[in-house]
Amino acid sequence: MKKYTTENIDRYIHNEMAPSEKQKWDKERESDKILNREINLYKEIETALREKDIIRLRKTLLKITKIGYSPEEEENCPLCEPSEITKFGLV
Amino acid sequence: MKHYSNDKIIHGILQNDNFILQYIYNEYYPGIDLYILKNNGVEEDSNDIFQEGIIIIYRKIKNNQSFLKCSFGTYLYSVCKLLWLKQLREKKTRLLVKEKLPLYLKNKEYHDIIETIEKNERYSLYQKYFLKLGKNCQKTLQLFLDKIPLKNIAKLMGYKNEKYAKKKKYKCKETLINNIKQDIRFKELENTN
Repeated sequence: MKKYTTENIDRYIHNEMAPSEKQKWDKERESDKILNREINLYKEIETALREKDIIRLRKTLLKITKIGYSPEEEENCPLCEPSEITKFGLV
Repeated sequence: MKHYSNDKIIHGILQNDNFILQYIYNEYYPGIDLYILKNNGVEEDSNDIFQEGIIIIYRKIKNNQSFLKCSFGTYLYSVCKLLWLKQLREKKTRLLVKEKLPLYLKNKEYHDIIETIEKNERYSLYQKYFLKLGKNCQKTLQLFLDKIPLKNIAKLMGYKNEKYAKKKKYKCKETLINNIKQDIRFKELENTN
């Protein structure tokens, strides 16, 4: 697994390899399930990171719920008073 | 406290409106928190489920703005409940959950939400860990994803040269991926696939 470095996988998914090297990886990918899974994971992560609108919404929600929120990033975010637990008629 | 219509709330979520999101939190979080705490969860789970509930609704709004057939609170509560039940099931928790089936949702709506929840799960994990990276790493990776030329990335980020910028990108990516892989949820998701 050592030869599959982040750098190499990244170069592979971004078509930065020389044709001969790329061909070798294509072949290896077919026979090596772990490599194939790893490449798919890298691609999937990139797709997720391209969802800028959702990442932006996550940031706002983190601020509001205060988990994982560092105070130095604080903008003007008035925190709420706890409201009554009546909304859903829970048990 | 002022109450907002479904339309106002949906518009606010789409616009990432801090005020509306804060309103949603004030108004609906306590009920969700109470449900999760009563069903084997802790405060951190409640926060997590609340955030994911909003993200799932955001994804639904992006697909179809008129999906909401009941009050926003009812819908959010149902989504959060489904999320929590799914997590409990995957953790193979054989503990009593007070209500087994989601309320308020008709069959098709139920299946639509489940589909969105499943699509959201892995992305959610990746995005959360991305937001836990240092600001420089987040920015560097984002610039690469935006296909900004290497030379410009080095300049913008104050890196000594292009080679260093690339090295930094690999380092950040490696950290991100290692952190994701160490998360127990990642392992659970791997096992369910």
